[in-house]
Amino acid sequence: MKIRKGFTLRSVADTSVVVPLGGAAEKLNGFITLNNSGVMLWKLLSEGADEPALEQALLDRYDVTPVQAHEDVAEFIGKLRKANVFDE
Amino acid sequence: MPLYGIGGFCVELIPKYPTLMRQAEPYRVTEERPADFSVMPEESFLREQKGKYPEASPDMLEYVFTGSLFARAALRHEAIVLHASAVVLDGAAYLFSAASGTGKTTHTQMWLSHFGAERAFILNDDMPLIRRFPDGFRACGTPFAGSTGWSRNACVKLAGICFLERAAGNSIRRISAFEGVPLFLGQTPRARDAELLELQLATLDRLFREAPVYRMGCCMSPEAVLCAYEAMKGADA
Repeated sequence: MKIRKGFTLRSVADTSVVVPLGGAAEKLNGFITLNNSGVMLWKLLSEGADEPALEQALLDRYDVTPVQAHEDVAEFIGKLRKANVFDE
Repeated sequence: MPLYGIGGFCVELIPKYPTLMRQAEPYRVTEERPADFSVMPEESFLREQKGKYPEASPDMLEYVFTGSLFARAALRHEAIVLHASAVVLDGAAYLFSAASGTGKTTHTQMWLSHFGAERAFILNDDMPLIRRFPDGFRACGTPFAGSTGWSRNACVKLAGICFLERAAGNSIRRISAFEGVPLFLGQTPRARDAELLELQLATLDRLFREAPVYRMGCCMSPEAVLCAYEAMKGADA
């Protein structure tokens, strides 16, 4: 799971939105905004984290159960995949 | 060089085909003044587009791609176009945006039927410009008005922006930037280079801080007009 080159996070009216730069604009399938935990997961993903590492990060920083962390990460990944953000 | 006053900008353009000529005519200005920008698609670019869209006439290609050049140029001047039908009522502009085929035009036509021509008119039926003026955001007519071509050369205080979806009944709610920014970005031409993207996002940032944005599920019944109007009239950011 690697974020495509050109996708980056920007802030608009205190909201984090995933935007494409250059050629990535042709790939993006719908714009998405991220909440605070989404921004944290995005940063970890762009540093190369895998799914278990993302789940662990949620467990470390938020009051969630392992089951919730697993579901939240799956939902997050699903949202990004649908937007065609991954190079896969 | 022919000059046109669009959204308060002085724009250089040379229409060659009937659609753009007809659409641009009401915006023509005669006094000589320096242009803010020029929107003239290169012949080579239009030929390239003809290769991509062989069924489109040169007339249509000129109309559409001059519009997208205009949209891009506007980004450099704290202005942004939105794919929307814009109706003006009592001097304030209500913008209804949605994917093609949702019923934007049908909805704003119902505003005209309901409120009448004394109070309401269509500012632009496809690509109104939203521009920041010293006293706040205004919506402006542009020659680029899609298939109906309805536009008026005017700049009017922006009452609000509403993203429409078809539904069984009518309901409307104010939305945050978290929900609205992706909807807006999905209905405005994409800025393809980094510099334009930053300008686009800076204008959106201001717009979402200052203007109310809504999401509405609507059916094509006349009640949809009052549902939208009651929620959107006189709102402040």
